[in-house]
Amino acid sequence: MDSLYLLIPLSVILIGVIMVIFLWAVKSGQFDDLEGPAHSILFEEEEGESNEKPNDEGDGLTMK
Amino acid sequence: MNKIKENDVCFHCGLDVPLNSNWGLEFDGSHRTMCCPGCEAVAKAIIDNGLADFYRKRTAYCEPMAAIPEDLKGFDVSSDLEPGGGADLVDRSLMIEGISCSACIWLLERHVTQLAGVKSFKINYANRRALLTFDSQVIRLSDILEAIKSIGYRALPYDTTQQYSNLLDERKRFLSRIGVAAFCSMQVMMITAGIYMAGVNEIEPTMLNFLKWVSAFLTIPVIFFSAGPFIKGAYRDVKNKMPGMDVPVSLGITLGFVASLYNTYVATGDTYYESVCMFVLFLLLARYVEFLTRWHAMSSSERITQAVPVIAQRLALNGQIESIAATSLQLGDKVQINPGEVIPADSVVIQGGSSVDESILTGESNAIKKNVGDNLLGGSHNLAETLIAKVSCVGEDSTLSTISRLMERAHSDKPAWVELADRYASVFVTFVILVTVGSGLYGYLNDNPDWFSIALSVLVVTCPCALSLATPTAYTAAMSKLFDLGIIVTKGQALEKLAIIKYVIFDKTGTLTQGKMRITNCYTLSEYSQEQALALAVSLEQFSDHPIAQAFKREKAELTYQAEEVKNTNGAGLEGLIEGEQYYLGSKQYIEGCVGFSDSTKQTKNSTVYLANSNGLIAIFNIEDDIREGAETLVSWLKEQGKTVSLISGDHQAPVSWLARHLSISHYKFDTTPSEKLAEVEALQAEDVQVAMVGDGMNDAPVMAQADVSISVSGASQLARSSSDILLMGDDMRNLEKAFNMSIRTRYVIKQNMLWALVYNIGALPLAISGQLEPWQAALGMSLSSLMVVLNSFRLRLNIFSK
Repeated sequence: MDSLYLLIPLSVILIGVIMVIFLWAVKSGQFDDLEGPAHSILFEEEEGESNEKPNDEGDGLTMK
Repeated sequence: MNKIKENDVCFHCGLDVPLNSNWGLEFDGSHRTMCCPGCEAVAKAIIDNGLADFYRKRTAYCEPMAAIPEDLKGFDVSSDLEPGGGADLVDRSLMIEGISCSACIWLLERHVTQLAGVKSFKINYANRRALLTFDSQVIRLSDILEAIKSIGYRALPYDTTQQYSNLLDERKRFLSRIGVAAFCSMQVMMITAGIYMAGVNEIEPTMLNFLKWVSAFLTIPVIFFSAGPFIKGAYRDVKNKMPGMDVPVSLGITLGFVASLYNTYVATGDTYYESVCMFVLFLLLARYVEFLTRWHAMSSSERITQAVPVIAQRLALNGQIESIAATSLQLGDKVQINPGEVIPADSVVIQGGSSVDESILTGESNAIKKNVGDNLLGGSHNLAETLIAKVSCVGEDSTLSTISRLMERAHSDKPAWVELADRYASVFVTFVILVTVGSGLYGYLNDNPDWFSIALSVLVVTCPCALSLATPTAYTAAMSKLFDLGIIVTKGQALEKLAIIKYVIFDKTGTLTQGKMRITNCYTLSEYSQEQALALAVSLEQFSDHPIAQAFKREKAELTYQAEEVKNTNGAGLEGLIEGEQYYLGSKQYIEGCVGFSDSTKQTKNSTVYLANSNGLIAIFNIEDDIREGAETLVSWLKEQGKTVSLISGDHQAPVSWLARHLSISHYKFDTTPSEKLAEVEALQAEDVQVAMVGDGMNDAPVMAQADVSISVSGASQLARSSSDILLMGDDMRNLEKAFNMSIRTRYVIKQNMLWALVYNIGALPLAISGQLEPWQAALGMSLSSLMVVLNSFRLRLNIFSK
């Protein structure tokens, strides 16, 4: 049981560290745009390198 | 019989390509048709800039181009840049309109970052805002905005010191508070779970005390950081002698914490750290949900209020022209207004003559001729020639300031349901505190050792959390569902009211009609060519103000023939002499009456117009009416629901009555001024009839503010949108039917929520008073009942419209 006197304060310190990292992440805007990065990864590649997508403009186009 | 042209859709925006047009360009080896020179220019700009990949990657058509050109230089005038100031790098936030899919973001980022002088340009996908850093020595803001416009989007600088950054900060604070509360609560719960699970005296007293001190330590950030807003709010409420929800909440938190701390210090008695932490965490989550609703509503209405600052071209005494902000114009200033520009202030023409589009202010769909001595309305558009005008009205009474005043009012309005909830809460909270103090005092006087724990349980259990969540969560769920369907609800209350609306008033121009009526097909039945037939028809239609005539007039601007002795038969048809021959133009019945013919072509849904002379039929024109999609279905659906539908317009009799007949609306009024419309609505409301107004123009704005529920359609003016409760984003009017249905369901869910919350609060109170509930059980019960309410509201999002 005595080990708890060491382990619990250690876990409290760990919580403190996690909290600091979390607060930094919130402050630096990591949570501001949760949608964009998921989309932007698809558009990063340079022209020409794109894997030849069938160029059928009529398909899948929907008016907003 | 041959068609003039195959009907096609625009490669860029997906709208129908008009008849007889040949806009378009070569792309990927084939010809792509375009609907207007605007789209053509945009597509050309995109491809010329090496960004053609956009068209391969996009998943939705772009939004159609705005028809009205804007003078973006206004932003350079009004921007706070100091010319030649030390700091060259400037940060601006931009709000971008017209983003329809993620490829748009790719396109915009590529296009803007390749401009010289732009250091960085990042778009936030979620809220369509961008952060721009540029070198003010190399490039001007208006050039960047112009570049964005050239590829078909509309960007407006957004003042970062305003609402938006406040909201963003608030969201960050919320996230931090929730995060901290969640981490600490988890730890405290973990420790407490151990204490609860262990039997009596199984944990040695020193260890028990140690665990309690650790819990106390972990609760400190929750009390002082996470619960900050509650405690501040309670302090403010007490100071204002207007107890709100924050008072019992902070009372519960602080009392629970202080008592636990004392008990830990003296090493006897119960501690309530876990109840305190959990209480704060769940309340924060509930507040966050409420905040998101508010944000949602605000960011959709915010987009709307941004207008380009109007720039006036003032003629100085020495004859020079200077650009100044329209707001700094003085009475008597002379201004020059070029074609296509916005008229900067109410003024009188002193030189020149032109036609002016006042539809946005008055609803009048035709251009109005203005000559020397005529009044111009600030905010309307000059169409044809350059005018010189003298400013006749500034300040309070001018059209512009009326507009901004109306806007301010529309925004300062605190949603009525928040006020209502506050008032109820204040009564409820007083009750809660009295009950708490009463039960605590009773226990204390009767020497009940658990008196404090009972009081705390009562305080937590009666906390009207579920009750206060009942309405906002239902609103949020319904609003976000409607948002997905292209309907933005800016005031939650409108959702509740929509279901009890008895009377729906529609505006005409821009609301039920789109001003896009046009000829889709022309069949020739004789030796006349299509061109000739069209020219003959156009020359006759010059004498009519029937809405169908507009379609012909739009097709051909200059007249080939001059018709004489034209007789207009009551909106059914026209006859006239062209180059010595009598021609007839009109409906089937009219032509049958005049010449007698047999129509062998199959009937289509669209209106048809027949051209004939004494020898027989010459041509048949198919006219696509410009009635908004779904308007007919909507009107008949509304009637089915037992609501009265009426049409009130500022336009003339012919087009209004034609439309009313077409949609079978029996109540209609024409030539009405905004104040007459307002009086109409007020008269109805005086009879206790709930009125909804569907409109689009600036002239509708006051009426929309007066109506119980105001709805604006896509393409509505900024003012109309800012004063409306519900915005339809798509062109399809049937969406309104979905909004009505959702409203009925929302009311139902709110009632269920309220009932559940009351049952829970009233049911749990006796248990708490009799000491059957531990504080942690009370906190758990409170959370579970709130969760029930949230989940019940969430059903609004899940269900699919069955009707």
